This record gives sequence, structure tokens and C-alpha cells, in this order.
Amino acid sequence: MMQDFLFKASNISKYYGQNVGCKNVSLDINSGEVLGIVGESGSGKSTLLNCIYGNLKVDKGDILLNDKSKTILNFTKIDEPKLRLIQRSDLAFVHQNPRDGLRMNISAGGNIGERLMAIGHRNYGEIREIASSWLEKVEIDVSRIDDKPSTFSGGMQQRLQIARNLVTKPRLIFMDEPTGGLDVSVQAKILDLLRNLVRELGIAAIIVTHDLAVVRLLADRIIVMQNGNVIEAGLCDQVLDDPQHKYSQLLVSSVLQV
Amino acid sequence: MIQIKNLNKSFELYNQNNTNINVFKNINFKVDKGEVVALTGNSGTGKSTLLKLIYGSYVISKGDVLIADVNVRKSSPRDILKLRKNKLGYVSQFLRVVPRVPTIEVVIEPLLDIGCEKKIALKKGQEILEILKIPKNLWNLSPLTFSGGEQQRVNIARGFIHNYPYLLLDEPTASLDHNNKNIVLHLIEKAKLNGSAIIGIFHDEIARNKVATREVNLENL
Repeated sequence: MMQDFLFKASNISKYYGQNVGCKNVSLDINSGEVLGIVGESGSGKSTLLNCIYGNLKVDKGDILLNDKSKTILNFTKIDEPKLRLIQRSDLAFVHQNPRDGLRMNISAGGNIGERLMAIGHRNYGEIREIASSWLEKVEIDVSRIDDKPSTFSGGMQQRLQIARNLVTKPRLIFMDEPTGGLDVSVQAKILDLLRNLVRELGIAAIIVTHDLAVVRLLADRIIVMQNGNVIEAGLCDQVLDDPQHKYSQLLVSSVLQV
Repeated sequence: MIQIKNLNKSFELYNQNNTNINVFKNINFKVDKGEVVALTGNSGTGKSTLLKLIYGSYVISKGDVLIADVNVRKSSPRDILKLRKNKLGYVSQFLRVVPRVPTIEVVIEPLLDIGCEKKIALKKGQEILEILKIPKNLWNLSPLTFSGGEQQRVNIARGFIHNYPYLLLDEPTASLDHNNKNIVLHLIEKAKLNGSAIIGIFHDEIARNKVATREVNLENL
């Protein structure tokens, strides 16, 4: 039963010189769960996300993934090529700025197709077909399939990045403010898409956001961060409806009602 | 059975002059299978708060809530989520859904969450929407554009599509006209006969007298 978890990070600490990035943070997630990380900007959310994904070297702590073959991998112990392979197959990372997650000099279809080829797809027609269906899912006009993302609006780029990351059906997705730059109507569509993937494919997601409405609709559990520390964690609706910490109360009460 | 034992709730509002609000103290009662307990008392006595404590949305200050063999106060978030998915339903006055998702999908979600096949879930969804008289041409539209009464009925459809053995109802008939109110009361009656243990808030006295087997007045406790 110990090996039921999908992903577990314990006592993660990261310092930037004298400054705390995040301190002693622990979290875990199972398949089919969505974990939200909230807090104001500068609270260490993105640092934590980059640490546990393996993008940033941690100063302390363990990061464990229960991989497809039920082997427990510790990101702080495995070598770089092995980590990169895991990041491409089991994991995905959706960046806040789509330019960090896209290849700007290849076409939209190419951006999606590249990920498919990396996991073994070879049939051009088939790759193009899958890419088209994903453009539709994220509401990008399929006639733009051969255009480069540099000709897209910011919102379209973000949707393309999400398609590029989800096409290979990773087991755990890390998302840094995924709906930040999107129109509300497209944001809703992406939220729905994510929820369905979580339910139907048992994908797990860790989502960093400052948008409490997004976490309420998406997350099962949330953790609240301030100055690099986790100050409150628990059931999503409990933390939002009855926050126990002074800072969580401030965060929740600062949201405009719509 | 739902058991409420010496339940206390207070809110500590740190950012509002450290105000401490005592909602209630030492609440005790039990709800058996096939019972509908109506919570009564003036506005502000903590009726909705009590439902949220039972559901796990609010943190219990002192005391216990036992639902079958689950102690809510001692349960992990995962255990609470499991309890909600399988056994504990909650119909609130507000519809909170992802925008643009069609009504039928919203309604069948609780069934999909427990692993019900989509075809069967859709059939049950259509049945309950028909019972609640939501016009067929609205099923594929998002409920967020609906009238208050329609939204409330979508919420009720979601709450009654699965036979929860424990059910919490916060003003389920509040914004409904006479006919729709009777339809909802009939659904509650059916759940009661099925053996569900139900706790509800019904401001409407006629509705309350129709379905409640017992009243618990939060002012007299």
C-alpha cells in the first residue's frame, strides 16, 4: 500500500543566496487528483513547482515518482538524462509564459507533432490528424496548423502549449498559472478539458495559480504559501470557505465577488 | 446514522479586529435511516454552518460529527472526498459549475465520479431532468444562463441522481414555484423511503411540515 502514491515531495527547501525560495515543503498526489498551490506573487509557488518538477536543484528534500513500472525514482538521486526522459514521458510542464513552453520557429502542428514523435509516432498523416483534433479541442482554428506560434495571440499560444503538453497523455502535469493570460470563455473550456482528462485518464495535476475561482472549480486539495512556507493545507472548499490562518483569511477575503 | 456530538463552532476573524464569533455550543442529535430532520431557528443561528460542518467544508472547533463509521473531524481530505463521492450528498442554494459545460454533463458528474458508465449515467440524467421538468432544449446549454429556479433544479438533479445514504439540503425549495416545489418534496420523500438519513433547512413551513419527521431548533439547544 505504501507504493500507491503517484508523486511525493518531502521537506523541499530552496534558497537563493540568503533569500528563501521555499522552505520545508511537503506534498503528495495520487492519480486522478488535482492539487492547487495558491498564494500571492513572490510566495514561492513557482519556485516550488520548478523544484519538484526537477527544473531547479533543491537544497534539501526528496522528490519521489512512482513510475509506470512501479519503481520509485528519486529525482535528487537520478542522473540528468534519466530525469529528462521522465520529464518527457511521465510528466509535463505548462509554463506561465507560453514562449517558454513552445518552439516558436516551428508550426503549430509541428509543436504538437514533435511530442508525439518523441514517444514513437511515425505516421505523418496520423500525427497531423491528432494535431488537428487537439487544435480543435483547445479552440484554435485548424486552418492555422501550418502557422508558426509567433503569429498567434498570447491566449492562442497558451492554448497551443496546453495541447502540446497534453497530447502525449502524461501521468502528472505541472501547471504554472495555466489560465492566466486567457479570455474567460477559453479559460472555462480549458478547465473543462482538464477536468475530463483527470477523470477519464486518471491524470494528476499540480496547479499553481493566484486565481481562487480556478482552484475552487478544479482542485481537490490546496496548499497556501506565504514567504516560501506552507501556512495552510487541506480540502479545497474547507480552506477557501473556512480558512484558519490569518494570511489565508486575507487572501480569500480579498477576492472580488462576481 | 449521522451523529452530532457536543459540536461547537466559532470563527476567529484575524483581519477584522480579531473578532471571535461563537456560532453555537454543544449541539447533540442523531439522525437515523429514513429520517428527515429539519433545522430551525432564526437567521444567524448557524443552520447552514451546521450543514457545512457535517459536509467538511467548515472546520469543527470542538466535538464530533460521525457519519456511519467516519469521524469527520479526524478524517483526512482524501477520506472526506471519498465519503462525499460515495455516501454524502449536499444540495446548496448556489450552483457552482465550470462555465460552458452543458447541463446534462453537470448533472451526471456525480455518477461519472463513482465510475458509472457514461451511457447509463446519461440515461439517469435524462430521467431526473424530466422529473424536474427542465425543458429538453436546455439540456445541452450551460445552466449558468438559466433562471434562478431552473438553476436550483439543476442542483437538485445533481444531488438526487445518486442514491446517497446521507443527504444535506440547504433550502432545496427556496426559489421554486408551487408545482416544482411539490416535485422536489416528492424526491425527498422517495429518498427518505429509500432509507437515506437527511438533514435539511426549509424556511417554507408548508414544505417543512410535509417532509420533516422531526425538527431540531438551534436556538433551544
